[in-house]
Amino acid sequence: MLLLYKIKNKVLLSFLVITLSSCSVISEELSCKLSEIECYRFDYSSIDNFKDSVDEYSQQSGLANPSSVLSGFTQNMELSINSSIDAENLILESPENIYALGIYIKNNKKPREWLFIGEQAFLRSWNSLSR
Amino acid sequence: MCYKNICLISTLSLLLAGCFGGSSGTAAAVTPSFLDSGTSLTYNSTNASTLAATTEFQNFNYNSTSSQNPLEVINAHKAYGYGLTGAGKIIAIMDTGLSTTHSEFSAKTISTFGTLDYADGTSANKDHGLFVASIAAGENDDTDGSTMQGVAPSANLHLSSYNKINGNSYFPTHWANATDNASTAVVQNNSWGINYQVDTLKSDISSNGWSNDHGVAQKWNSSGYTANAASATAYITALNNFQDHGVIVYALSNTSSFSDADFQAALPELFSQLNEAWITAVNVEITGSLGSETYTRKSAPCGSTGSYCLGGDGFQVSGAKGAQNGTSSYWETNYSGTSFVAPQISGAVALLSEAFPSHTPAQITDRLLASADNTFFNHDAVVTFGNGVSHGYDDEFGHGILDIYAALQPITSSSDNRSMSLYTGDSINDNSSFQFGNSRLLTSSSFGDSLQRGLISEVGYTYDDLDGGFKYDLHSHINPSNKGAPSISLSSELKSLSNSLNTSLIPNHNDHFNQLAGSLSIRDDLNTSVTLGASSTPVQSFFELNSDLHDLSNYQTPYLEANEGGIGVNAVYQLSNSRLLLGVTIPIEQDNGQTIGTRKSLVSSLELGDSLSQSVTLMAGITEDKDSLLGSQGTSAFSLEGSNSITTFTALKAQKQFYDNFSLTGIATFGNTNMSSPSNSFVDSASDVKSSSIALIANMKNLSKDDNLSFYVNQPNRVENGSVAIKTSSLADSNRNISQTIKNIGLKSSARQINMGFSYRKDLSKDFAFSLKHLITNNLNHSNASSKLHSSYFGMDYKDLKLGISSNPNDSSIEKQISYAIAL
Repeated sequence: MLLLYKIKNKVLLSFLVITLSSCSVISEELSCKLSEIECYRFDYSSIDNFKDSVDEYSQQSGLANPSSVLSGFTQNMELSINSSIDAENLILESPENIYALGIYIKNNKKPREWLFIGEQAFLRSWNSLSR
Repeated sequence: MCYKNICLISTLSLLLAGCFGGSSGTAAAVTPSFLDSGTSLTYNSTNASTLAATTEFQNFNYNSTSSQNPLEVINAHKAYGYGLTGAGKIIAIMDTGLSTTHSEFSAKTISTFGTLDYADGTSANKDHGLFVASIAAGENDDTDGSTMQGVAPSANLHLSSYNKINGNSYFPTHWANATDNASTAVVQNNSWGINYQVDTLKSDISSNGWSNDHGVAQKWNSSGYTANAASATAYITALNNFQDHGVIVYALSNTSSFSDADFQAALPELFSQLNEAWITAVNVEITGSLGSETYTRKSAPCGSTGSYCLGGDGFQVSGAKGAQNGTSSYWETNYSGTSFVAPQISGAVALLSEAFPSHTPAQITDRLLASADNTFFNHDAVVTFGNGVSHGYDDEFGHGILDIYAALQPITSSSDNRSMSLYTGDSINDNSSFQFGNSRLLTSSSFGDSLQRGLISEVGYTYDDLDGGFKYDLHSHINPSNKGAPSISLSSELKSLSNSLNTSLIPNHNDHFNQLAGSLSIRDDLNTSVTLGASSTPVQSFFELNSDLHDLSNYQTPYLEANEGGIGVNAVYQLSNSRLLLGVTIPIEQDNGQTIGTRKSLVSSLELGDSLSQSVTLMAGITEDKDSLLGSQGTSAFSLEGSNSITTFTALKAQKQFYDNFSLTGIATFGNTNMSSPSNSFVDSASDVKSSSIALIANMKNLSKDDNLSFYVNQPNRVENGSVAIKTSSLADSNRNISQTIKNIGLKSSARQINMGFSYRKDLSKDFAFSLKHLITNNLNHSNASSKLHSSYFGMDYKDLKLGISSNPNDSSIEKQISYAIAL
């Protein structure tokens, strides 16, 4: 009986840790449900469609000309992304991995918010706000 | 000399008054030059020009052949002429590519917030924040390898990075926290922003039905800076709160093709609560030499931010570069952008905060905008800042080019700085405001220079129309009497030669008083009368002297002057060998509302002895004067209106005749005056002001038959001691409150005026007489600033011909006169 009680507690504790862990990855505030958050602005159906969507988005949003970043995208890459922080760090180090990240998130049914955070880092990499 | 009572006097007067120049009227002049000293500071043009010539100052300008030094254009060096360096002020820099270790900041206290994005030393773009910070506050220190310097070299820094999220979900949350953290900064510099026009964003917001918070959050999101409406609201709130202690400076977009400001610089257009202490920065290249400049906009226009937009030259300038913890003495040249205009403005804010420590950020902002150089373009509109101060602007250059020197000067709606305000109350909000130029205290000659001397080193503050406080010397508003030395009237002297020679040495007791309105009763031993507009009879009798060298005016005893009398009731009681005089005067109002006289007086005198041989007169009394102090008059902030001066006095006159032809007369007066507080003035009161006068006169008759010789020496009334309480005010604090301190100013003139002189008249025959005089005045008006003054006269009268010449001691002019009477 005591053993069952200990097992039950371990299960509950594990569940709690997992739950809290998942909550820390994406803040409660940041959600694709928010209208300010555009989680589906780029088209990851193909590399060409992705480039076109980046180009179109840049023009619409008044961003810098993206031509310098529209070549050299990594398309096939082994990734292991377990949080939005992982996604952001990946892109902060190598912005050209954004397309590969999009494919990974899509194929592995990871939270779209993780990709959004990666996309934000990608946009910042060539859109300096300094004047 | 008249025939058939019809005389036509044909006077040939040669008034050659111009021999030594004209009159010397000394006007009470305000010297506005002191206002050059800024708030509490003395301007040193040598320091300014020396700094402008230093290598580090010069290095700021990359292209010195075609452009003026941008630092010199904004008169940054002239701030150093005042000793302003931004010391003790904190400039907050939110940027990327920052450094805390560069040699440009070696003497600074640098605080930081959150994780910083550091400079890597590769370019001005990678070292953007370092470059920007060095323009705001780079030190002038050639030991770092002779790099460059910024606008406020002694200012401290608060650094944060806009591209670090610092553990938050949204960037604006981090920006808000960083802004809040800079809680003691006087300015926050923002040389960053999204290039998206505010008018376009307004359309987006309108067409999508967004809130403004949602709209700006959406734009930040679109550039990679994650935001939601709530975080945007937090950032706006932080920017609003910051303006309680500092000015927000935002660089406009560098996209010169823009037709309006970008939304981030123009946040006040979306959030009106931000339009309090907010300045946008436009980049204007200035080429050409001084006086023939060409102005070219190199960035987005001020657009809808025109009313709070300032320009500067951020084209081809220099700044610091170098990796954090790396070699720190590098600097980079030839970079351009609004990024490098904004820190010029931010540095200027630090300098003005140092100069105007009580100014709010909004007032600092107004000073900078209202004093900018807007002479090179046509204005679309005018901003009225308050108290009538207005300044034109347009949507391209805003208010024009930043001018720190002009911002440090008084800003008034009038070109005359004397229109600045003095406040005698405890706040610069109250109604006790007076024009600076009209405020002065004109002290009578009795005071000499005593009050002015007592106020040396005492200061007050006068305020311009933007409430800028400027220190001034209180003593400059005290005007000692400029009364001239006793002089000789040539025409009067020649006229008196027509009269017969006075043969009495000492006059009889006066029974014929001036301006008698009527007698109430006449008895052998009692005579009562009414006077109007004259001194009471005791005073008139006391100063009746048998000398053409003297009258009451020689004594300058303000409390006894004749023209202050109103209606008087007098009594003369004749005793056996003496007489007692009593007199009361009070001001009287006429039907037309005008008042005759200003003084109340109660005077009595006792005249003892035989007036023809020897006599002693004792006089005592009390007088009350309104709105003046011993003849001193005040205006505006130094007004004496509402005050009462009570003077108690005693006087002694002794006369004695020796032999048949010689007499001596001695006179002395002593007064003690106290004055109550005027109703609304820097002059608070006066206590125990003791004054005295003294005179000795000798008369001799018939030394050689039909002649008369007089000598005299006197000291006009002089304040010997006592004090006047003056309110000195502090600089108004940020709540516009003034604290007043009352200082008792001891009264001691620098010198004692002594007048000496003699006169001689000889009648050689019935038709021929001549006379001469010489007067000497030493330390005129009890001031050692005056040299010894001489006045001489000689005149003669032969039948109908009069000739005379005299010199005026006050302007050294010579007057000559010849007159001849022709009978018709």
